Amino acid sequence: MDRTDGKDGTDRTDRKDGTDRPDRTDRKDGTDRADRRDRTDGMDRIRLLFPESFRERWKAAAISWQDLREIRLRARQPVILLMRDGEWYPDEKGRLNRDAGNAPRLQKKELDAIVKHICGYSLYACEEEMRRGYISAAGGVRVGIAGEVILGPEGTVRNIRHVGSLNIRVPHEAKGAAGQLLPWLYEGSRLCNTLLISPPGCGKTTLLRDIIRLVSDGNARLPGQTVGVVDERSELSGCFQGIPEFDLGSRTDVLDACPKAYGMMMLLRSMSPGAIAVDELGGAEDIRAVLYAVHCGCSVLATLHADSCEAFFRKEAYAALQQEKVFERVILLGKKDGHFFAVQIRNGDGRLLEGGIPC
Amino acid sequence: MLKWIGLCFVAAGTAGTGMRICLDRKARIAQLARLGQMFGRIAGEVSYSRTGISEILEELGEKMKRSGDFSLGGTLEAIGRELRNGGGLTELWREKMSAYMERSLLRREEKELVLSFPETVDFPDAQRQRTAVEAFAGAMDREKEAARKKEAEENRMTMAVCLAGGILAGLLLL
Repeated sequence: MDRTDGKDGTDRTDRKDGTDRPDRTDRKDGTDRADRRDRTDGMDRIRLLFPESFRERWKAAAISWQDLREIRLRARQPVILLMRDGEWYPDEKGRLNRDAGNAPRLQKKELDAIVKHICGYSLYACEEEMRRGYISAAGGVRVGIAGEVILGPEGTVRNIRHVGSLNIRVPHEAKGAAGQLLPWLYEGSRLCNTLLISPPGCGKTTLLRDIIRLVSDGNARLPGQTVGVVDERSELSGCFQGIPEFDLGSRTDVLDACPKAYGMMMLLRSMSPGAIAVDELGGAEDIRAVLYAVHCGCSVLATLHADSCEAFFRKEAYAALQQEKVFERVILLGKKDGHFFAVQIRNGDGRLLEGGIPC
Repeated sequence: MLKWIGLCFVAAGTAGTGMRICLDRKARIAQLARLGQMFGRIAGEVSYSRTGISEILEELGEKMKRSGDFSLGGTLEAIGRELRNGGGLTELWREKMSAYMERSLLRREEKELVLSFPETVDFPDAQRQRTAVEAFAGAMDREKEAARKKEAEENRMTMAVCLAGGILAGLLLL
């Protein structure tokens, strides 16, 4: 089975999104100039991840970028493209097959060349990120890495050398994806503190990106308000030289590559945001910063890795957030047949408000 | 009378050649200084902002162009821009810097040193990367200082030889 033709017509970007701003994706003609540019940008985002000499092999993957979720590269193993409809394997000429048997194995030196290229030939610039297990590539693409870990004197991770695996996570802009969730995100004229929960790969970041855009540009419920985004991994905004490459709305200020806890404080002090958005809450510092932001009267939009709402409500680490019922909406996301759903929407007490909303 | 005027012209011609050689020597020192500064500024950016090499080259190129060095500035800017668009550092650096140094008066080993720069941009930490880039700046500075020390002596000798050669040739032609 071959898949070099690429699909495009069924993407979520064709939907209406409920903003009060005219949007290029609302146009009926799906092949207008803006759409073509989006498509070219998306293809380039994939193509340019690879050194020039390898690009031919990634042509089909680049053409199918709208369906592409992840590219798994492992030394001495076939490359796996995780598409909306399952796994595909590119052959020598870049054609996609279902059969892994015919797929060539990736050489270690090819993998090293890809790592160097993704780092922009500046491994030192990615030192901090590599320490945390990923590299942020241009266009908001996050590349997870695994290999031999170098430990520091106190047993902390200093860096990763001899990279053996890469997981290239392809970001998508799903404009309008949050449209149906909007009624649940507001209480009267106030934006609720909202936490999006899901296991990896269920669209938390994509959905958060769209919520930010809708809040920033304004929507049917409220006019636009200033949103501050702390984008620690450059994944939400896809910033290049401080300017977001994804559409986060016209009233959004982004602190790129900044630790969440510091970033939230900085935004509160200097940018007076109506809402603050952060991706993947983690340590105690993040929790403290969220509490501080909420006490300052700022709405918080955040995401969290977990497989159920209960995991959040019961976990000791988030006790401080639960005691104060900081998050007024906790939304569990899931995936079925390649489509994303808000499986559960709960309030701050954990009461189920709604479920099964497609997004 | 005409013979003496001819002799003066021959002597002036050879002296002019000598001056040209001296000016070339000065230009080489200036170019070494520029390259040393370039590597020094790259090292500074590596350690201060840990910015990627493409961004550093692009910004440095712009700054150099603003300060009047269009040739090296334009070269760096082009490398940075094409790197950002997905080009490879080794190929781009070799191609563009070779073109920049094609007419330069640098010695072969100095050119080779400049062209070998991409091979050292693979340290995983900023500290060691800075040291590696600073080594290039240091090498350029050492070459420059050595050339500067010898410059006055070599210039004197060049002028003397050229002038004497001119006069001798003129006398032989008389």
